[in-house]
Amino acid sequence: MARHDAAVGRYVYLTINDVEYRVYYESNGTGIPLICQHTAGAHGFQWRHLLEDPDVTRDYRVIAWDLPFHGKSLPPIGDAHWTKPYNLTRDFFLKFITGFAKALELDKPVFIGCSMGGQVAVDLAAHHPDEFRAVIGVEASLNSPGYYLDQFYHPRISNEAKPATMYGLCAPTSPEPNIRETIFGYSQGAPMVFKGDLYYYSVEYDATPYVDSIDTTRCPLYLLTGEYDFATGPEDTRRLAERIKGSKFIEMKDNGHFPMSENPRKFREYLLPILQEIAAG
Amino acid sequence: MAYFNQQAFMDAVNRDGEFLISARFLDGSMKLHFDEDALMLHFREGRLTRIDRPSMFETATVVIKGPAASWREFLQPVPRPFFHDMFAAIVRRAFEWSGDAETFFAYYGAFRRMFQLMREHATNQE
Repeated sequence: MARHDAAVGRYVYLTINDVEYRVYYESNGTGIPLICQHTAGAHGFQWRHLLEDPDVTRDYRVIAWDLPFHGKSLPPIGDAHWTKPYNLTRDFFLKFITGFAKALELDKPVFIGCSMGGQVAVDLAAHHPDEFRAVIGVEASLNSPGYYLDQFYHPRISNEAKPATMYGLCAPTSPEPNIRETIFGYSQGAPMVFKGDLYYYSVEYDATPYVDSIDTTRCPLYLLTGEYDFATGPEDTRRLAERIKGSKFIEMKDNGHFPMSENPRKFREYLLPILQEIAAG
Repeated sequence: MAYFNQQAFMDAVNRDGEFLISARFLDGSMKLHFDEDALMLHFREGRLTRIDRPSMFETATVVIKGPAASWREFLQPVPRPFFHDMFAAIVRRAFEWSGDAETFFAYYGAFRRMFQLMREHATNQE
């Protein structure tokens, strides 16, 4: 009898701004939907440990997708995407997440996202507070300028450069095999995708003008950041948390920018109490 | 200047599988500034062939500058946050880099591994 993981993969069709996308996602568990957003230039593999964690899937239906252009979600057939630069916009990102939840008829899901997913957690809390039971921003901040860099998409620099620089975003105390798996994901992306995702992360995203309007009584907001994350350090998330009344911030020891994949055992120590608190209502 | 054991470091670099893969085709040099002191690392066909003190006007493909205090933090066995990786430390302004951007980024994987080996052969871990 072959050994299988419990997560099962499927494709769903979503139409966003008149373009149809075939979107891959994996899911496991029953209960409250917990939808998971990967980091820039990566794909849903980063959540595989959460998808297989019985202490999570007992109460949560965990769903992790690959954004279009990432992983197994190919670029759309009905759009000449090769004729224009790939840039992830806030408009598309928010429509994708809310559209995905609607398409799967998810009842007030919990959203968790890391890095650009952490930033979009803040955007969801600000712009779609009533559609989510709670949001969890991992490695989130008020803004993150300065990372929309040409070296991340340059014909003379190969896809080896991305994993090499991502290595330094991991904690030196994270398990080496997990770090290697995390950065391997960065060698898999199509050449333009990482930089294009950073358009949202580093150019469009800036919560400063509206952060004070976030109402955590409508949408509870949790913030988790790894101590070794040099892109969005704990002090950056603390500054964000200080602006949002009722938000809860925890600095994670022995973790960097990719806690769910670089040190999943340590990450769950911080995440499980949050998920229990949300489930308890 | 004895931040690391130079011979042991060079031997380790040239027998390290990860470095040898990621440094393939690398020709060039890296100058490391430790306060007022400097070392030049010479690479040829993906190997670290020589370490010496550069002359005053000798240029390098890539230059990394940092104060002694930054190097001491960087070379700790388990460095504190933002000293754990050269790219991280540069972003956080503990070090400065200059030189050829293509070489620096294309070979960052090799340089990253090299610095990890330098840490393993550090001599100033007081």
